[in-house]
Amino acid sequence: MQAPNNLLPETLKVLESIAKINNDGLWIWNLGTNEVSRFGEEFYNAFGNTLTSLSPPEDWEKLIHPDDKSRVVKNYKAAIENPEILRTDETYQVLKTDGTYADILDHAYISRNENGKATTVYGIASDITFRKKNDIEREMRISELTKANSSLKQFSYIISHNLRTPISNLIGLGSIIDESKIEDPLIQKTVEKYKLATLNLNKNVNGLFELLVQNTNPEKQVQEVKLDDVFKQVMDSVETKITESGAEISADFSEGNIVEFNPVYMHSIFLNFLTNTLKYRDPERDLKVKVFTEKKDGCLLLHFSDNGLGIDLDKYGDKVFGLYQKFHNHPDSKGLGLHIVATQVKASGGKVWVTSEPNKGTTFSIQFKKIGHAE
Amino acid sequence: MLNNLLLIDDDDVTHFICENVIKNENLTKNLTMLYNGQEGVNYFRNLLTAESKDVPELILLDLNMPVMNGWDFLEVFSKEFEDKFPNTKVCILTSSLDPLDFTHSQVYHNVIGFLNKPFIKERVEELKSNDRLAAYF
Repeated sequence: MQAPNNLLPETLKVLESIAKINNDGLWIWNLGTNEVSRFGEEFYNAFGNTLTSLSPPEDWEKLIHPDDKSRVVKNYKAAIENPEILRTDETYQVLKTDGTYADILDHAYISRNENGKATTVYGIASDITFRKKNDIEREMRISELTKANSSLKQFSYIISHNLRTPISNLIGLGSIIDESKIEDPLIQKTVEKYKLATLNLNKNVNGLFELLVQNTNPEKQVQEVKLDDVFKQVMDSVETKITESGAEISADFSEGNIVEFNPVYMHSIFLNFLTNTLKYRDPERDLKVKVFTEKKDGCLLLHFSDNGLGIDLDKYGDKVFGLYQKFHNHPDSKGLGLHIVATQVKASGGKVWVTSEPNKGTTFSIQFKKIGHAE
Repeated sequence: MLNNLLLIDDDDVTHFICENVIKNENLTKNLTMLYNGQEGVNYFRNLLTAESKDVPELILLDLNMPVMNGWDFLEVFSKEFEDKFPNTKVCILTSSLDPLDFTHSQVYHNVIGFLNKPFIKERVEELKSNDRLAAYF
């Protein structure tokens, strides 16, 4: 390689080494002599050996793709002539010795004298062919996935419709049957069970559907939610169940009552926690439920604690929030509730976990996403 | 009580259920049941020329149907019949849970309700307490 006559051998070595870091091409364009010194043997070899030595900028320019050439030359000229401009970028294609074109990204710095006249341009040329190809592929994948997602969503509505029609019919037919008119006790009982089975089928399909809709609708409507208001609504909606259970429920949101959350999710989370608590109470003792918030490490935590049956976490620890996981042989359990809670909390940028001891009780905790400082 | 109610739904079992529930709950004097939107359009075309006019006060309309679906029926009804039968209201009866279906149905001002199947007693009560049907109950 021919050395530019104003650089020390040590400097040349440094520049050649820097070029090796990313296999870039470093170039220094002396505008006085109109000579370009290039460093980065590996980079420049792909475009022909002559380029690694001192040569006029035209040697490089003639390799630029005809579609890009005049634009690139014009842009550099304009940048050099404008005393305001110190930095500039260009992306263009350059012909390699193997006959293919490489996508090149130039980052350039224009050095100027005290009058603002450009004297030298320093540049780094990177081969971004691979990156660009990846970008295109990624774009394609994203667009494919988006399409697939939306057709899945459509599919889920169709399936749900196709399933719901016959289920609705079963329920409708059941509603017409007046069991009191059936004389045979076995048939009467059978019809009663048949109706129950139908209702359960309906519940399961609706639960699945809820899950599908939620997973395919990432758009979140986050707003300021008052925890005490939502909790009261949920309590009211299951009032009879609470009264039946004789549960003693205390709620204390004094450490923090307002969160940035999707109100529909919050409602569903409280409802799932509450119905779980009522369902899995310990028949041996009165049910006590404590709901409270806590400030910790700048985050707001919500705890939902009961003295119910508890869960053996050694056995089920990692499955608590899984789909279709049931830990108690309860007839009404679908194994969906906690999975929905976990999905909703995660989708909102929060965390959810559980601590529990069999026969002592269970505490579910949610850490809400830190509310960003006002901008 | 309504005088005339028209059900448009392609499903036989739905016909059977509606027929029985409507009878038990005294929703209407006369019930006509058709299988798709095209039959509905023909029905109203005949009404235009018929001598005795038993015009339905309410149409229970399914959305997914062969030949002509509920949406296309609503379009034709709005264009051809709405001004001739101003007292005829429509209530969607579907098993679709697609929220877009509900939103879309609100575009038609003669659609007074959106019911999810099955058509059971509680749905009839919803209809009876609908403001825009108050005159009949």
